[in-house]
Amino acid sequence: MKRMLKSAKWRDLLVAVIVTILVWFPLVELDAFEEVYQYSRSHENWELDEVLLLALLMPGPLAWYAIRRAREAARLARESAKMAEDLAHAQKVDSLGTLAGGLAHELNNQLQPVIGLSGLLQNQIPPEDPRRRQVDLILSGAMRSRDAVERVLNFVHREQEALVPIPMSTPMRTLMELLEIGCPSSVRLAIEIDEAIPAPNMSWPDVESIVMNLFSNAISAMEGTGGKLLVRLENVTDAALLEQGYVARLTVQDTGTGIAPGNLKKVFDPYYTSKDVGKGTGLGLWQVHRLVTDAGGSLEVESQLNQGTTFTLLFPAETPGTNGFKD
Amino acid sequence: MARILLIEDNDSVRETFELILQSAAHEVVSARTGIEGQAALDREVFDLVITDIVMPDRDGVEVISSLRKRKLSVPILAVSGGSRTSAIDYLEMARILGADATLAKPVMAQDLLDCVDRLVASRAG
Repeated sequence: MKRMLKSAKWRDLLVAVIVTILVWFPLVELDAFEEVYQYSRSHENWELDEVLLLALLMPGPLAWYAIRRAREAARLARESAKMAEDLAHAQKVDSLGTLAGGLAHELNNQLQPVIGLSGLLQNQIPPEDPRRRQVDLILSGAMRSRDAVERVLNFVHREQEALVPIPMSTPMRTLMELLEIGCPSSVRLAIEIDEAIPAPNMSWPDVESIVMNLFSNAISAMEGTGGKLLVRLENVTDAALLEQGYVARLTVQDTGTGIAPGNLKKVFDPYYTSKDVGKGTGLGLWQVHRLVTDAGGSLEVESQLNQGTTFTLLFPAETPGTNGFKD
Repeated sequence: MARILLIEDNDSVRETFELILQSAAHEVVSARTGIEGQAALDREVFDLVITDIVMPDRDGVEVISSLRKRKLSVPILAVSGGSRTSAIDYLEMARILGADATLAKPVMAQDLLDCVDRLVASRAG
């Protein structure tokens, strides 16, 4: 019953019936429609006074109900047409992106001898030599081609970031496959990724940067000793968190050196680093914190010395309408 | 002058890099695949490794992580023509996995030589 009342259709119908009853009862009780009553009395064969009264009253609420339903249906149709259009456009941009990416990779390789060797020839031919001008022209033409490739990639990336909210699960799997290769053999890597994680409220390069920074820190914390690294991406099921708009939870847990309690509050400060001089800039976790909070997410860190560290990140979903993607 | 291992599967790019590096009197040992490169690393000592991030086989990523796992201190320069061509930024990944510098192809001759000098000098220093 509760569920039925939550549906707009049943709610509207119930309101229409209640309104009809509420209006009908006092009118009947008060004999307000005396003339209607007399009229129906003068036509004894009808004997329809109350029925007629009801019939006269019904069109109002029913019309209201019909209009509500029609408006709702029109809104749904508009939304679904818009979604289909957005999806078709997103698919087109995605295909264009794949095509442009493949072509750009090929062109960048083919341009390498032209740009590399004409630059080398420039150094070998003195400026006054007439052949120098020929080499200059070859190099500038090739550089313009390189810029054109860059422009196409920039355009496609802008379109993709604006239009294709990438559900987190698929690229995360690819990313983890690559990081698995980079994982030292002394570290046991466990990857758990739920199906169908919605698109986060941030661009994919930002998510990638967050994951890689946390991964890299975890590996450093286990350097020499080895250990276990868990990377888990899951759908949020906790009602309180869903209420706050969080849809995905990323957990990166290591069994490394851990962080001293006194330093735990400082890990997100810029330039905080536990690494040796020259090995870390200290900007990694600060950057992670900035990206997550800018996107409306949240992050927590728990750590025990010589036991390990756990980072828990919560991501809100991509916001419909504003599309939430940043340049 | 440095002794450099160059891992690159594209023939014309490999020869181009060889010519550029040799023009600055560097000694270049070339490998076509990550596996050939690993074999060369087992045999010889180098001042620098320049590796392509070969996307189909992920050879470059493997070379970098394998060097790091073996704790070899040789500097690594990762080069890719595929930077920003897919959702994953391979050069950024190479950097995080332990590459000391990255360059996106096509690379200007002077930029390559400057980067090589800087990496070799950092090792010597």
